[in-house]
Amino acid sequence: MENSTQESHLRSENSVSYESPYPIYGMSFSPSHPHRLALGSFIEEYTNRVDILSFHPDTLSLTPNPSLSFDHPYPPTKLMFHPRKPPSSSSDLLATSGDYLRLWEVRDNSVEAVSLFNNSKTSEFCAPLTSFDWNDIDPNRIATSSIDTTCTIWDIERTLVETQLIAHDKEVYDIAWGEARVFASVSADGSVRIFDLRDKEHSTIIYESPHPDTPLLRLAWNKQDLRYMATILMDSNKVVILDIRSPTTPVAELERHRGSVNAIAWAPHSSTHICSAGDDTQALIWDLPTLASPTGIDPVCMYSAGCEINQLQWSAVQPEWIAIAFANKMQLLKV
Amino acid sequence: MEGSSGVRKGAWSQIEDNLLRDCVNLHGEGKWHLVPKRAGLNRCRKSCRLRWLNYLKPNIKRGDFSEDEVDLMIRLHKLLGNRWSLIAGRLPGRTSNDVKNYWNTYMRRKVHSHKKDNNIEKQADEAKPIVKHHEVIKPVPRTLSKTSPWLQGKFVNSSKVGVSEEGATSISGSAGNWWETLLDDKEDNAVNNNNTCFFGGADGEFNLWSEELTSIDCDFVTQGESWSDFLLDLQG
Repeated sequence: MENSTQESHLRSENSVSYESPYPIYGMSFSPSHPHRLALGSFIEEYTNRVDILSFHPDTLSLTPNPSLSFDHPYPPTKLMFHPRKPPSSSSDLLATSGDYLRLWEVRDNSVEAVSLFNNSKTSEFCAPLTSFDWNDIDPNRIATSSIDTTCTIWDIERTLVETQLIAHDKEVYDIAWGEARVFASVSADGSVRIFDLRDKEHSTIIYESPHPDTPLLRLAWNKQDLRYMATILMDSNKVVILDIRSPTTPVAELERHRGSVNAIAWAPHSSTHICSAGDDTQALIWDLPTLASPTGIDPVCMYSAGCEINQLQWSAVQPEWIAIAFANKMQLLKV
Repeated sequence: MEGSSGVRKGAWSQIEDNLLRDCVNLHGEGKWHLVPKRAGLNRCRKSCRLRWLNYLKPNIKRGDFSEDEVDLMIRLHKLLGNRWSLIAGRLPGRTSNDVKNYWNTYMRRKVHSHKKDNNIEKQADEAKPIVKHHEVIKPVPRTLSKTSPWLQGKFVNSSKVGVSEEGATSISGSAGNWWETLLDDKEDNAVNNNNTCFFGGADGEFNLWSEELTSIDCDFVTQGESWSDFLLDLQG
């Protein structure tokens, strides 16, 4: 049991559950439809589904919308709604990654496939994509990461490759925009690298995992304070906090999880809060201090799910809600 | 590398397998240079590692490849060529050895006829993806502080280089200021930021890290693949 005096538990009356017919992984809150969520299935076969749910905070309920459910090839590795409200339209744009980057239009009662993006020169197949990030400053750009060691910047309107970079020495597992022309990525080669599209001939390594064969799995860039990023290492209970002005040396390592960390998310409304979740079935919220503590940092909030938590999203439109995914369940936690 | 004279080679015995399995179960994977001694095996570490990864690891799948696995293997091989470890990484429970052997045994002859089937599928594909040609750029990575010890001299193909100020770039030439460009741009785009700085540059923090750095185990086997192979794949 945690000994932190600041610790408090999220109670069941502050959570909403949804049980899916299949395991889930990808999740996204819609910025333009505040009560809409997308969930992607995680079935290790070709046939997978994406479901659209409606969240009702007044009745604390989640209801699926069957007419907005659609087939998706392979489990979506990431789901993301368009970061802004599209002008004069009630429909939503949803991007999914997997065997390709795909764009879907979510209308009132149907979902249409809009675009399919392929960056392969010689093949009708695209190298499998591990993740992507939609540029919220310039929403015409999406950056994808792939097992073929490349990151690709896409022009969404023209469905073309704007830039493709051989970003790392091994598979690239996650990617995140910092601002309009700067992104960062993490890789099986154990490094966090920053790229500036104004200087495509160089990248900057700002962190390398302390053990040479330990991949980095996820990356979160603090949008409230772009000097800070967080990353996690494979099979590690640490959340590593990086300051891009102090390359290679983490400013903090959060080590209270008792199993591997699977997901991290900065608070969308605070520059010092971050949430992490992992195999110890816990979701922890941390408040990062201004001075490093000699005894280590304790989380300010803890929630226990029934089993390993695989995915985590912190809603930007309703920042009092965090979504976690474990097994077949998705839960919304109020913070 | 362990001294080759006297080290046992050839088929592994059941006793050796048990010793290796017990050792990995106790100490975990990695640090393969310590495994022969810990396990009491007269084997080189590479042999121990390969034995574990290809045969003894508990999650390895046995038996024939399923239709889905074969289909995925074909697609991945088309993308990645003979990079068996990458392909195997996408086939849960399969080792790179299994994938390579399966391909070389069954697929070399079949792949030609499969391409014909592929053409038929391609014609019927309504959502045919748009294939556009574009240049693929390989940025040169750099770090802005001391090189990690475990990289020094270990990688022939290392793409890591020291700080270069030769060419004019949009990033400030001074190493200490490269990130200011990033932050300046942020202001131009009016990104909301309350400028909270929640970590001081505490000396203790860095000293602690330096200590960890000096103790990093530098002895490790690289699995790096040649960049030229990869580039040929991309350009071909």
